[in-house]
Amino acid sequence: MMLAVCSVWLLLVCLVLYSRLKVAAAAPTCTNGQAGCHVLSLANLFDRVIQHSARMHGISNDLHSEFELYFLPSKNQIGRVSRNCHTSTILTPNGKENAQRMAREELTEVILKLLVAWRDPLWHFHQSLAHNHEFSNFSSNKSLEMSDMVHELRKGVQKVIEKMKMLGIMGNSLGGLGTSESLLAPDSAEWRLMKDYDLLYCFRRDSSKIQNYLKILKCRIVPEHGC
Amino acid sequence: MRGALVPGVLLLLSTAVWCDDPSPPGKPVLTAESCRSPEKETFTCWWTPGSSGGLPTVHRLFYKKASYEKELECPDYRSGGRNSCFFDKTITSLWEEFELTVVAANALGDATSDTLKIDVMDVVRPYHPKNLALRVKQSNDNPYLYISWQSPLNKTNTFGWATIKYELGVRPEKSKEWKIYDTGLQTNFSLHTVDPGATYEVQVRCTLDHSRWSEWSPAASIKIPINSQKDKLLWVLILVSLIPLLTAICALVVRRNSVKQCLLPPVPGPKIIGVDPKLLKSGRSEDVVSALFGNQKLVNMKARTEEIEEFISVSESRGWLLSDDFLSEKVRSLIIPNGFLFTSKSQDVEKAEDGREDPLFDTRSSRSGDSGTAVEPLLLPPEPQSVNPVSKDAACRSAMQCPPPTSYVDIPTPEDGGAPEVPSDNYSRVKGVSGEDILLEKEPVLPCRDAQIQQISMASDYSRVAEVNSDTTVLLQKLRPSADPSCKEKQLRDAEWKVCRKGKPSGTESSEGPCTPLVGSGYVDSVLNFTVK
Repeated sequence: MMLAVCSVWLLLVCLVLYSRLKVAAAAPTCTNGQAGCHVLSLANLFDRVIQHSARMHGISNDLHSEFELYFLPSKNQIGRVSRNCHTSTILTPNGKENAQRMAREELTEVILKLLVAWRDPLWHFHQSLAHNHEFSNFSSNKSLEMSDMVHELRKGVQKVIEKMKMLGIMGNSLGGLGTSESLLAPDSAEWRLMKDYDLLYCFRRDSSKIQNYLKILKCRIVPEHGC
Repeated sequence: MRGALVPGVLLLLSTAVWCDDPSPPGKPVLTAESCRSPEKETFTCWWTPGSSGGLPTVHRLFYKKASYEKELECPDYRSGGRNSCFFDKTITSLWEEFELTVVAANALGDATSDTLKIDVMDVVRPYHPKNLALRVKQSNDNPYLYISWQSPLNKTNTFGWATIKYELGVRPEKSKEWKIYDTGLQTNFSLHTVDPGATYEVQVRCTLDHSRWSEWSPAASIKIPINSQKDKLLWVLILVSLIPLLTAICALVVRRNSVKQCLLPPVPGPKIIGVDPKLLKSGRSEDVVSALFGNQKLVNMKARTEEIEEFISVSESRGWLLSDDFLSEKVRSLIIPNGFLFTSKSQDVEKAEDGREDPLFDTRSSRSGDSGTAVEPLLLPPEPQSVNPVSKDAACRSAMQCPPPTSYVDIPTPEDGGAPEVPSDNYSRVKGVSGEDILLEKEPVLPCRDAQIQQISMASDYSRVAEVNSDTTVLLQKLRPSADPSCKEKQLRDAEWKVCRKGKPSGTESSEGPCTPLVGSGYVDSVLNFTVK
């Protein structure tokens, strides 16, 4: 008797779990515009990514201003700063027209390259801040946040690319962007020579580029409110 | 030597100033704050020139992009105004450092400013929003302020390159602080927290992609009108509620008499039954007589014979309150000895006319039946009371000798032991009333009464009002007690006349004192004021 009850109960549980799994499995196949679908649309993904990049740029700005207060760079360091940035080798559009003229795949690639290029330097920067007792906890926390954000943003952009590929918006020319090592320039170790302040200056500029490029990309692919 | 040094220096300086020697120009000043990119596509820089040195000076700006080694001169000195350099889209390059220098040169030399290194992204600052408009709109009878403006950019659609966010500042007229509202990307805003009748100032500013805030736009102000519709409704309600109030007031005014009667019931006062006050007022003797002795009043009074009235006891003792038939006599016995003299004052007469009933009169009427004596006003000194006034009337009728109804009052005395008697010699017959005076009959004509009529002996100090001459004269007849109680007439023959002038003694009056002025109650205390010869 008890055995029968137990077995019936187990069966019910199994059924429930199975149905749930089915639902979960069904989620990825949900296409855009289907009723009751919980998967994010491309526009939503873009918005999230852009918000993320905006926040990242804000933090980098704060840190840079903080460093400027405490560590005013000497006159010798100013000038030719752009050459000191390890990402200066990446060709980036420097204006609206240039960015609009660039192909969407190319633009997306630039974004990804930038994000990949900053993952290691920021992590090391955080480490140096954490170990250096001269800097406050606030700065150290910010640097960690910054490092995490770059990582998250890169994942988000990759999701957007996947979505675009799925929707047929983007071709498969970005096939090689999966691995980060392929994106790294040969002289990637240059960043180790950068001083903290220069690193922050460079990252502040690059985060601004990322944000602007993402917005241009979004308005070109999913033009709607906010463009 | 030293003494001459100071003035010498001063002299030199002054000559330098006055003579204004030409010199090389002063150093121009170029700062980051003086450069501005309004839309992230172009930028302009302004410099502050130094002294010109008295000679025409030319300023030139040179720039170097970080990516190029070559130094170039400013392409446009005009678009930004004086002492400015405008860089268009082709030259402007973001995320690149520009190095700018201004050189001032004149005939004697030149001066170079400090090099300014800027990143265009750092000097992005939009202009303030354009065309700020305020409008008051209604929403469910509540006014709200609708604020709208336009983007400072010529092209609102920048394809995601320039995202402008706005900020509103609202200030009530009397407040010093601005209230800030973040409107995001919208170019309009509805403010519902507005007070009707208040004036508001509004200004707006914007930012481009987290750049520095623009200047505040010129403030616009608007006054919120007082909600007339709500007020109209209020007035309508007030008027509607006033209408019943007004009608009530009108009704009260129109029917004020009845209201007066309801709220302030007149106190019954003494009056003469059957007397028409209007006729009395007219003052003509015949009118007075008819007023006093008008037959119509007889008829009226006849109707009241069977009524049982309540009586008013004016005595101090309560024990004398009686009902019905005997009360009248008792009342008279109470009242009269106090010396009340009813005078034909207009108000009394009015009361008589009202039909309001003085108990004494009513009693008389009730007792008298068809008696003509019912008409007699209670104005006179005591008159031979008829215990059985019916018999008297009967005697009257049968004898056909009945004189016109007189104005006699039967006033029994307490010495009678309850049996009212008619004193025959102390009464005067009122012939008529003119104005406020009582006309007393010189030759009283009294019907002979039955033997049943009892006489009430009165105190000798009562006088009978015989005649009223004028407004202030009452003719009194002094009566002497007669040996013959059976007939009044005899007694009355002996009567003498007296005139009582109101307020002052008359010439013919034999009384020693003036009559009492007619008081409000109409009573004259003859005991006090009359003396009988």
